[in-house]
Amino acid sequence: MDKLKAYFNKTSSRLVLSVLSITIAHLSFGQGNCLIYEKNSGERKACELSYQAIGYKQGSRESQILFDSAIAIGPNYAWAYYEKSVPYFKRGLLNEGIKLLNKAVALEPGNHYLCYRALMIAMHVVLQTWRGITTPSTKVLTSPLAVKLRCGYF
Amino acid sequence: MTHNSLKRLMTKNISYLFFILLLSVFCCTNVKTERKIYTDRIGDIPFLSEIDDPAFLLCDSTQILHSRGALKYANKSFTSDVKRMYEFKSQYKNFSGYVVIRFIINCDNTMGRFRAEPLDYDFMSIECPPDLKNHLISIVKELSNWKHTSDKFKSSDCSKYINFKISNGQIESILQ
Repeated sequence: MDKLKAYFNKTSSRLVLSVLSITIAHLSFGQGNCLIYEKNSGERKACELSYQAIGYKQGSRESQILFDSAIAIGPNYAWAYYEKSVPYFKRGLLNEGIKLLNKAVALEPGNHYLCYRALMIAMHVVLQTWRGITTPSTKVLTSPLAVKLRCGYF
Repeated sequence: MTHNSLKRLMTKNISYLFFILLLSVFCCTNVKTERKIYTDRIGDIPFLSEIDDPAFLLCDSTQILHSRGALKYANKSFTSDVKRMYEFKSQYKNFSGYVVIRFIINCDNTMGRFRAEPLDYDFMSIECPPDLKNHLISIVKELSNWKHTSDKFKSSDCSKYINFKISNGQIESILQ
């Protein structure tokens, strides 16, 4: 009985932690509310268009065209650049991806885009040189997993 | 209203109309009409008759699976296999950066539509010796032992990319 109780406690605490981390991640890194931008402003329209874009499959032509429209209307709206860059990274088109992501980072350096860029670099640069790193602590600190943890990507 | 005043009014209106027309033409020519042409999905590799094998066919070109986790190299010796096949040439010595090779594995587990993109360490496009590009593509072509990670992917054409990190012409590491 005690074992069962301990198991449930463990499972429920895991569940609570998962829900909590997802909520924190969503609140911290989500697109946010378009209403915070002034009505009829470029950012507001760009935000609304970006919301439409994520309604389509990631990397689909429809979504990319909508992100382009968002960027054309609100060129300072960083989230559109970031979201547009994601499928490029996932599919090995690193040059297109980094150009977009650099733009998002330049517009909002304090946002999580910097972390995402660090993760992408960690994936391709650190992961590749990982085997060459001899110090265990350096190995742990520079691993993509560590970057994910530090950036809250869980 | 006299005939002359009517004529004057019309001339004035026409000149206004002409001015507006001119202004609109001027404005329109200044607007960036640059529109990017996208494939159906980012990562699709369209057929190019100059470089692609026409015998390589996709089972369904509208449903290419772009998921890094869909395919896995069956042998654990992937890196050592590649390094064994790699032949260093002195002309590669000046190249440091990445070479990303993208390709498609169709539902019959055949590889095709290879594309190579050389990048610097900041992921910016650079030039690399054409021989190096072709050599890496020929190595990737030899790596035919790909397995679908799940049965549900088996009937799909999948895209895959391998990133070679090259330092002074030598393969430093490989990300697959």
